Amino acid sequence: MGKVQSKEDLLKLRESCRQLLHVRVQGERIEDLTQITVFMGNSGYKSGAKEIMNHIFEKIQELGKEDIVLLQADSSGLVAFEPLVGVKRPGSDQVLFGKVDLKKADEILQDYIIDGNSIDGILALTNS
Amino acid sequence: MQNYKMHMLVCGGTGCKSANADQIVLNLKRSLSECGMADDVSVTQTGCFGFCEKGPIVKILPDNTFYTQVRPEDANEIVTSHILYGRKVHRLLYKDQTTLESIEDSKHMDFYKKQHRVALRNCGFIDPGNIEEYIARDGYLALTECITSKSREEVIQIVKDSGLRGRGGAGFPTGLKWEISSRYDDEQKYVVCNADEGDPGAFMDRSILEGDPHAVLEAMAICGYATKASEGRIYIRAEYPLAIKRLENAVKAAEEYGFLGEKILGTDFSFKVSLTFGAGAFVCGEETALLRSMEGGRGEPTTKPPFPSEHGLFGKPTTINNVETFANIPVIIRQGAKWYRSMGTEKSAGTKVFALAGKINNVGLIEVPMGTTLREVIFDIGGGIKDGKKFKAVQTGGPSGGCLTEKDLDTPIDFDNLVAKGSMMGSGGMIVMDEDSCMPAVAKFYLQFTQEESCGKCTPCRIGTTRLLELLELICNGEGTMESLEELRRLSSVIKDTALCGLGQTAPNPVLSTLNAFWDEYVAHVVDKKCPAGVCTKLLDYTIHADKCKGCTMCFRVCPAGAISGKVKEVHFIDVSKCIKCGACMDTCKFNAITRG
Repeated sequence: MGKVQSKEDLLKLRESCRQLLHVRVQGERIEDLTQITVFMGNSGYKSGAKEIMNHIFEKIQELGKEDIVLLQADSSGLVAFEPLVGVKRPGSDQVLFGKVDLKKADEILQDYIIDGNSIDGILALTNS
Repeated sequence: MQNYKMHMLVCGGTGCKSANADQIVLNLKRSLSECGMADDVSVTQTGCFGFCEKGPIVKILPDNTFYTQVRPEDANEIVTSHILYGRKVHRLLYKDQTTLESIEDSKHMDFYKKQHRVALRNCGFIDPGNIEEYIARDGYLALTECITSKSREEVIQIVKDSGLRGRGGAGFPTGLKWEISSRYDDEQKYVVCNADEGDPGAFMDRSILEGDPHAVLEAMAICGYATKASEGRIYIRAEYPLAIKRLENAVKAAEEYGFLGEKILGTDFSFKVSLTFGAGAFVCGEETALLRSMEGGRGEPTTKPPFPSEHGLFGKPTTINNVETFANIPVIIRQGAKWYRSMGTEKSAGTKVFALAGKINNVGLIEVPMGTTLREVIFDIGGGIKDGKKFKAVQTGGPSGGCLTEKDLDTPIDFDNLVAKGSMMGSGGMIVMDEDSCMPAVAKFYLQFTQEESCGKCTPCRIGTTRLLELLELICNGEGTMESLEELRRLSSVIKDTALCGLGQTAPNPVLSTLNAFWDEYVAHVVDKKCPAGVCTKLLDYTIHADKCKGCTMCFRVCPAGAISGKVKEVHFIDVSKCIKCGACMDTCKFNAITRG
């Protein structure tokens, strides 16, 4: 690493360093972010929720959406509907989607969250 | 660059490290590789989270899960349960003291809810050994702005306008100090960072240096720019090995990146920083004694004036600030004086870090806006008194401060209010005492400390503290009289008025404040020859009441001095000449047959 020579240098460096702390900063301001929760537990894991999670993570990275945070939770008990994905916008209730496959995951991310359209497959609203 | 889905932060402060935090890091990493998740989750050792009571701490992000009292053998469960299946390890979650419910994330912990972290903004958040994480948090941006686009006068004006006062104890306005130093012209000028934290039970400065060393370096360079100094020195006690190591690494990294050294960012400003180790003498926290020690002489204070601003290290103009003061500077420059003034009270702007210690549930490090009341700090953040006992007093300002009692609990904490109450802010140590603390014994404890730490240069401090201590010993041994109490008061005021430096001038504070607040307790010691709190062993005697004693032999068995005699199912007796008054018998007796008088 060469010496920082100017303010522009430093700002550029800061930009690249921010990636190091991205997840931590998300945690710090989690209440202001749209939270996508993938329900895991043994049953979710077996139903392929981990692949869904990895897929959503990569998509968020691809799209560069910093205001969407990806979380993982224990199985909710709705085993028959797994892989189960919850979406919670700041200040509102969590919306659940069941039997999510890769295509549905894309739809949730792009159509439902980013474009704000209503989509099929909403299972329930919860307060949690 | 690696994109991690989750971050695991393990506290790497001295406290958690001594509780095996390093092994936790190793075990976590090993378990992650075993599960094939090493590329998904990072493990980082940070500075202090502040919640030392329940250390070692492991925090998981982004969901803010806060695991307490983690042992190395718990690492595998955290990984296989939480990381793999999203199932939190409930037994390691923090439990609310009153509701006893597990709290899933740190955002809902009372301990953090009322805190406002400015000086501690990066502690427990970044890896102190990685300058890039500091840069990601806008590190060195304040320095860059100062040297590329602000005049020295502008920098000083911002610090002055912010209302920042020295966090080392005396509360002198920092901006004014910088302005005075900047007026003296000399080829060689110094910036000194006072990291000689000596109060028993205080660890604010250590935690900042361990958790965010770059903040202090950046601020020193800003101070160097503002006061036209080209050299910075940190006076740190050798008994802080971890802080020293992290500082040394930080200095090296800052030099590599060009934030310290010659012609910083291509400007004409050059600044280097080096460390000087102290041997851990309390008096060396006093600035003139600190300078003498740095010069290689004995750590003895000298009279002021001349002030260090004019005639400091090696006779050169020197600006001395405390660690916490420096840690506030970069944020103040970045966010402005107005923002800083929006926190705290009119005369004490900003926030203050406190180290909570003693009989309090949440021992640890906290930061609150000035003007927060003692009650909020002790009961809301501190979680109240241990074992449900009653609050008796809190000592603020370490051995130089005084005791504050129940009636002072609603006092908003700031520099002036604490002085008005007969105590002081000091560097921010807060030692909480419960109903089992004997106040003359507490005063004796502090006097033992100051008497031992007195450098011996001036008579009032050298002989005065010795005499004070003798008087307190007399009182605690039940040999004092009412005249001893008068003598205590008189001698205290003489020492206060005549001692050379801050150490001597403030040494009688614990005596005076306890005399004022707990006069009855002193009288009980000298007139009734009793210690109401049951601490002063010479004033205690234990008695077995024949009517309640069942002859179970429990006390006989626990007595370490063999002072109890008696047969099974017969009344027992204590031999007063052998009794060491440890109270073990009373604690053991199931029939309340033993009393302390």
